[in-house]
Amino acid sequence: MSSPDIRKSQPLFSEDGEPPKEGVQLQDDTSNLRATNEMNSVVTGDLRGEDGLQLPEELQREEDLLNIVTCSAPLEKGIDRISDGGSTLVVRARQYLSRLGLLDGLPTEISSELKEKADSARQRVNRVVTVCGIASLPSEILILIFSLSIDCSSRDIPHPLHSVRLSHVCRLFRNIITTTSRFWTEISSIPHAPKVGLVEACLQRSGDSPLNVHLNVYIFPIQIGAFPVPEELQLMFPNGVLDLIEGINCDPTLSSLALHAHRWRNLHLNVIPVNDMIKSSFGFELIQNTIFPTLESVTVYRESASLRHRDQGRSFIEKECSREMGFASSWTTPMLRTLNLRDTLPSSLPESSLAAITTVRINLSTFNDVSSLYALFSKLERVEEVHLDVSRLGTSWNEDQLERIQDVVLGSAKRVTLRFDEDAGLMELWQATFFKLYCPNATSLAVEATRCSKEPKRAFLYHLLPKIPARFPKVKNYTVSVKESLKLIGQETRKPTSLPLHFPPDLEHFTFTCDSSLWFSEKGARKIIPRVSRLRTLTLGVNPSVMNDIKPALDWVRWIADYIQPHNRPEQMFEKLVLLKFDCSRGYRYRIKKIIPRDEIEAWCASGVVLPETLSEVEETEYEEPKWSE
Amino acid sequence: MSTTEDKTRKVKLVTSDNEEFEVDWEVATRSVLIKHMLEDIGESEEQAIPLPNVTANVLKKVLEWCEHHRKDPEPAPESSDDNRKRTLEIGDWDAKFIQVDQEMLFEIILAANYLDIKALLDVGCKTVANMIKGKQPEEIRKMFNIVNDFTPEEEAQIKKENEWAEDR
Repeated sequence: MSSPDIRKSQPLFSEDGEPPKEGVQLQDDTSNLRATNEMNSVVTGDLRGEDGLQLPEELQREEDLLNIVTCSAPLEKGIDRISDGGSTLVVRARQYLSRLGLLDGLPTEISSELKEKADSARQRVNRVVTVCGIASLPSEILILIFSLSIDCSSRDIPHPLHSVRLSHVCRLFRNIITTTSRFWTEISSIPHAPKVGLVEACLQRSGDSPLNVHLNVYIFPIQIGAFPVPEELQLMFPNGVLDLIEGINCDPTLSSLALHAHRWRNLHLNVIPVNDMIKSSFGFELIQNTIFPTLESVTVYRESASLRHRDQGRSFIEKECSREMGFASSWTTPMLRTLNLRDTLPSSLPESSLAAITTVRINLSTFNDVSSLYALFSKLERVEEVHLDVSRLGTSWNEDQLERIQDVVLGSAKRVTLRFDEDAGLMELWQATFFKLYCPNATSLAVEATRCSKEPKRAFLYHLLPKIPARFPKVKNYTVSVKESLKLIGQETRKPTSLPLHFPPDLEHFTFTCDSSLWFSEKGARKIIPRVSRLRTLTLGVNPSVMNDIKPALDWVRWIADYIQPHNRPEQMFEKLVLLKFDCSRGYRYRIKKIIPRDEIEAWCASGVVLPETLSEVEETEYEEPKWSE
Repeated sequence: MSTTEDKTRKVKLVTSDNEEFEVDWEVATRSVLIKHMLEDIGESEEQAIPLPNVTANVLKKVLEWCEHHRKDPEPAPESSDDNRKRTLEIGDWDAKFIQVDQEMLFEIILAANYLDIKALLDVGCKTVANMIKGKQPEEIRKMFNIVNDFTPEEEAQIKKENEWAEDR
């Protein structure tokens, strides 16, 4: 049997006769074609599900032929040899092996390349999935995502920069961001470093939408003269006592913003005291006598109560125009309803503007300002919501100021929040502040106190709460939130907080949260009948740390329960006790731990356990302060 | 207002890949779309609700969310002038629920939007917003495999705008 192609297909195996296992190289078209056909035959056979590996016909014949080679035939016929030596049968056997070796190597190589292809295809799928994913979202959802991301981003940088940053991702993002006005309506600048270009881009991209304008306002002393001082004080005041007035300037962006005054909806002024005059001509005169037809709220935030000049020879400025909102005295603001003020009083606002205000949130640190505010309250004829925060109140006061404070009746107020810190201020000042306030029609009241280390009876909260029913007689929704002063954290001698015993007669929902130990005065309670016949929900938030005794809460609830469920009256209104657990691991917030229906309260009181275990963690939910509606 | 009868009623939903789900009325009506369709069909009908824009694997996930939140109060009507403080916080259960690959995340968002399940849409959008928040453009591109497709002219404008972010 002759094999004319033998030499053509060499070398297909190495010197030692072993076929190459990997990196198989086909040498010419003939061997390529043959290998292709043979591989096709093997794969087709395999895919057809034929039993075992079916070799191509020619190779099968070779295998059959080599299988029947025995010693007898060559011995009889002699060894057939090829021209350059060697047995033809051996060469054919090697050829057979090499062809099988070649076929064996091909799948490995193909498989390896296919694996690479599959890997890159997998990456391509991921890429397409994400690209199609984000691109598949309709613009209104992308706008929602962008607005959530922008609204919740850090306020350390001007807000529009978050929009700018998102607009630099790709054309799709840029198109959506730059053509959606809401992403450009909040206009703010870094103090001393306003970016006029950014503000102008905001003004242009915000279209006709109402604007939230944040302006940095710089106040500084301007010397208008000097008063001579006696000789003995000349060392301290070598230049005499300076006669100073307050200068006031704004970021230069005001000139662009002023052209859009008709679009201002919320104005935030960040008042920054500086020692030297800002070399700028952008004072409030640019917007004097201006009409702000859409301005709804004004916020004035002062870094400190007054402009202090510590340089030698300078004095305090007694009359500071910015503290009384003098810059706004000529404004026309038909829609202004909300004032958010820190160490600022609205004294200079036109009376018609004051009369239209419905919400005042004010944070004061000097008692002098508190007495001035009380004088202004009578002008707030329509105020419905009042937040009075004196948690930074100082201890400076005089008898005159105390006497100046008269009873103030806020007849229109519906919702009131009072906030104080027992570690700041003095008992006399709080008494003069809160005991003079009378809100006959308020239906919601929140008292937010920071506790000091004093015994409960010496704490202001203890004295304030009994006055509430008389001062807020129509309150239905009442919240008392108590937190310990940061100064007390880690101290072992912390004093408990007294649980409230006095309630307004119409009370329907009462919430008491306190992160300190609790104290229930049974002696005091025996003298009082709690007016809780209309109570529907009682919410109690406690902090069950090892240092806190919260068990008095059980006696307190039992005492209340005796009056909310009198003898199974069918008309009883009480629904449930909601137990909240203070959780410092989750952002110092309260979580709902357990809701106890009316009928199970007695058993809970008898259990001796304030916070029973819930069935699972899933039952615990975040506690959201209720939004009381009228 | 749902009646006691409603609460015991079962609802059949058919997905785009023809898989049928039978769920409690209370679970199905977390979707405003399904709720309205059920109202249109009327109580006596046993008709299956076709959901041609949702596949079975996505609907399964959406129904898991609806089942967990079946007792939640109805969301407050949306206000165009909503001044409430917005946060990106998500409840513990929702945070675990939404830990899915990006493909499923976007599918859930699309399904919540189509089915009109505002609270689930909020969870999905807040998750993506959290992924974006505080990131530089390049980081966002990398996260979502987005190609920078700006023209040279646009790039020049972007470079100019980047100056706004420089301090002082």
